[in-house]
Amino acid sequence: MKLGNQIYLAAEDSLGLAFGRRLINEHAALQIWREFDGGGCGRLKNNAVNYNKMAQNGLPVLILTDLDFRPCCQELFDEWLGEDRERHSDFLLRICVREAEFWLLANPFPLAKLFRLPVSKFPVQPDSVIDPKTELLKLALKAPPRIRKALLPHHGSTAKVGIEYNDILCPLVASQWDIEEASRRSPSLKKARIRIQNLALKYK
Amino acid sequence: MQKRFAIGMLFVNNPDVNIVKISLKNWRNFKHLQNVHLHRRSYVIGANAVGKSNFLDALRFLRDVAAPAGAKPGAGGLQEAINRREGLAKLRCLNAQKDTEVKIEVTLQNTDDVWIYSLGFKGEGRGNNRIVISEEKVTKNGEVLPECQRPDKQDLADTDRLTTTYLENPNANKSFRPLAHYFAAITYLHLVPQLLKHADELGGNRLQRDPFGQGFLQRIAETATPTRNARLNRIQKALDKVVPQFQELTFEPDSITGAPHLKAKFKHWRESGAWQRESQFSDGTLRLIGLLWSLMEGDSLLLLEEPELSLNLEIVKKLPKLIHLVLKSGKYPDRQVILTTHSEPLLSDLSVGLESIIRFVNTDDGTVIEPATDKERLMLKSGFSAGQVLLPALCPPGLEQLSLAGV
Repeated sequence: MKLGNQIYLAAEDSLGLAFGRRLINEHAALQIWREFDGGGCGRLKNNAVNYNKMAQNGLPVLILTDLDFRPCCQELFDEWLGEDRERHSDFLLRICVREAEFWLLANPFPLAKLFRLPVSKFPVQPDSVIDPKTELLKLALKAPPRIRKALLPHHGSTAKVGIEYNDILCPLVASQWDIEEASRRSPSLKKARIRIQNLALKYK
Repeated sequence: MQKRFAIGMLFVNNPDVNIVKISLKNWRNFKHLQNVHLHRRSYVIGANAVGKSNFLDALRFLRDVAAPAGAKPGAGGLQEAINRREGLAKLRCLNAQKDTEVKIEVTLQNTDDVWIYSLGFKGEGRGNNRIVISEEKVTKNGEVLPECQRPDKQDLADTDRLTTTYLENPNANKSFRPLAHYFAAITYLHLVPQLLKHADELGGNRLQRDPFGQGFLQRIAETATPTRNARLNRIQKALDKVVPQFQELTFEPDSITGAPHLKAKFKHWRESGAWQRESQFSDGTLRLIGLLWSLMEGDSLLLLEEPELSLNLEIVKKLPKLIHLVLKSGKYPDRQVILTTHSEPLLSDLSVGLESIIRFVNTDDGTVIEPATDKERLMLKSGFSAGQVLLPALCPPGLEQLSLAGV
């Protein structure tokens, strides 16, 4: 087995990892070697230079992170790796513009089914959504109580999401979310797929 | 004989002694664990219930066998060590099928000699199914000591002899007494602060060799005053950095009952500070005091169970360095320490090498060691710490989908 076709996948949370799995599993030539849930972007950022070295050493790395409120991707690259460093081609730092939920909203049918809402209630242009997590949670307010309670934090809490947020959304990404359909509506997902396809061709 | 004895004494007093290798057969989780290399600092990692504590228990077992029987009633010996573990059936690996012998083999080394002690035992298979020794052998520098190669002729003529080891018997272990002393001095610590804090209410029932620190204060009380003061002084200095409110640590027996107590002065709005007894110390402070004391007490192998418990992450990160510094400033800087841990920060120190980490994984054939893979070595080379490389791999499969009810 070639070393290069086994990928180190890291993301900010388990939802990010669920997307990463779908992206990699599209290609039979690629396998996930190890997954890492960074619990936010801090640890991913701190390790970025090491991830780059890993790629240089022959271990491809796929990091999924959010752009949050930075104006462009280049700024994030520079911030993570430092301007002097050259990013290795096997270090795929893919950025879900704004947040991972953005990719989920790009194919709203599974969510609409879960929330029992018409698709028309979902944003037509997910790109234009500034805060997709809040958007998703707003929609969840209208979902059946069981789903709503699991996805939303308690009233008055400073927590961003409910405790079962990832448990509900990750299986959705794994089984029902249509990556093809979503990438038609999300340029960042489309770009990520192309980059991973290139990697798959390299290690075919 | 005289020469051997002289070398033996050197061995006892030489703190450079290390257990360098251990093999286990049918010991609890381990059906067959061959030649596990141990270093001056070894870190045992693995998922829950994989057998980390049972691994340490193999070394504690040797200590229990070798502990001098005369020191305390029923303190040592093979049968007592097995009884304390609720009998052979509880102790033997569940995967053991045809071959039911339980065997422990350790290799010890110092600058002069290499010793191998191996002990195998099993049920006799008849009568009361007594536990009998199937093998007891001591090798020194590659040569088996003829006086300890069992079962020997005498054993075969009188099988009762096989119920005790030569290791535990001063009449039989003269040529390898240093080994017996070394094993008997192995220390294990898993201090449970609540046992110490609520000692009065819990009563005086204490376990042999006090693994959970119930008698920790008694141990401090029994230490000679100058040594005790010197140790407490060093602990105070170390704690000063870690617990900023901490000002002074002293030992003081209760004026009425005479019961031993630790007293510490904490910074307070009153100028004189506030004095507190150990029952008011935080769990973390008590565990740190226990850890630091154990490092300074004794020269033999020290076994620590999850020293990161109750401690702040930043302190956990510095534990390997703290252990090193405390030992370095004492009499035995090279004292061997083996600890179990789940903590990535503890293993984030870049001085912790992959070779010093023992990673256990569960298989259908019992627990085995999983050495670092090529990819993990590449990760380490790329700048990650050993903890970052090895610990995430231990996450049980399926934990991601932790949910008690499907959607």
